[in-house]
Amino acid sequence: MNLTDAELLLLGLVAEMPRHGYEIEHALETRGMREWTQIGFSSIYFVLGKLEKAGLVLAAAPAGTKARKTFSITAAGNRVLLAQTVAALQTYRPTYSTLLLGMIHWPALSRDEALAALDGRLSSITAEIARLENLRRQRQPMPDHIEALFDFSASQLAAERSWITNTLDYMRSKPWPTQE
Amino acid sequence: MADAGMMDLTHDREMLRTLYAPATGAFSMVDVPLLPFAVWDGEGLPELSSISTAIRNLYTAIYPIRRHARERMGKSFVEPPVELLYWADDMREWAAGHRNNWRWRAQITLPVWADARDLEDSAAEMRQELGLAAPLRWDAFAEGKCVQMLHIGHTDDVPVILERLYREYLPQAGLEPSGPYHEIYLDDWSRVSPAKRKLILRQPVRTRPN
Repeated sequence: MNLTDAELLLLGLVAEMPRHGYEIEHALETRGMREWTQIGFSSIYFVLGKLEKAGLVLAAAPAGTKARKTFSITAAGNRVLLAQTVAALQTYRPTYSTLLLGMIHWPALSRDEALAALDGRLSSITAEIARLENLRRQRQPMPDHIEALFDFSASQLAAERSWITNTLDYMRSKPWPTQE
Repeated sequence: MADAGMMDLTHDREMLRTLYAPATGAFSMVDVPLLPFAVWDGEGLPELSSISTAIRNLYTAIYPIRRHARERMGKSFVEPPVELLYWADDMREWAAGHRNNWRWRAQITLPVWADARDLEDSAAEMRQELGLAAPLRWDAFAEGKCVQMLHIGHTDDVPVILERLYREYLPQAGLEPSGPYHEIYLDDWSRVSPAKRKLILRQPVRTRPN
């Protein structure tokens, strides 16, 4: 069985402890999980419904008419969660950056345009590094596996920043034949 | 540098396990050495909301120290758990469960190289995130001889265990409480179901005079 990112995310939240939709929304919001996947409040129940239909979660019938449905994980759900988590950790899935397309079409730009664009990316990466660090400060305390996740993003951004500065240095110092 | 004579838990893994991974289901004795802490003082009714604010602030205040510790210590850095100590000036209030008169403090162990000055700098760096003036202080103390147990499960079961500790185990061992009751939370309660939460219950003790 292959779960979508949103399905795996919600399955994991329900596995921590039985929760109703509002509590799931609260966890998504306070833990900033929308940083990782797109899932709107309205689609929480839709995704839970799919998980329920697949027998991975169980919806407890509300006690009163106004009580909210509580979702808990089933034994089958737990098995799927384990298998999918292992797969997500161990299998590399390439994500293609728009940077690749930008570099491929580099010659379409003038030297100044290309350098300015790459310089712009440097600012945008630097801003993103600062934003993540800020998030991290505001979201204390975080368990160590989440700190490690932030380390992952931070080190990827740092690698890209160093690639950009190296590339800018090279492209700037390279003699550029001008057409008169 | 912080004071000498302090236990460096990153070098003494055996002590780290003794202090933070005791056996479940049975009381055991432990001698808690001198350790440095970031301490957040609180008083009055220990409500979940006031305590969770204290815990959040405490972790926020020491974030720069933890970040530095991770960089500096690598894999020997261990993410420390939050600990809560409860007591009353008149311990009969504590025994009677009059929670309005309780005092409490939240604390987290610091690396031995982080002294009072480092904690001050760390909190100053986080001033924006912390907001109000913080009842935060650095303290090093040795809890000494303690009885402790790891409890896995609902906190509703804790009073029964404590009843057994204070009414049976301690008197039978010729011991009496000598310091604040202490709980160490090994899980983040927003991520772990009540049935699976791990909690260390610890009580400093001394020999009961005859």
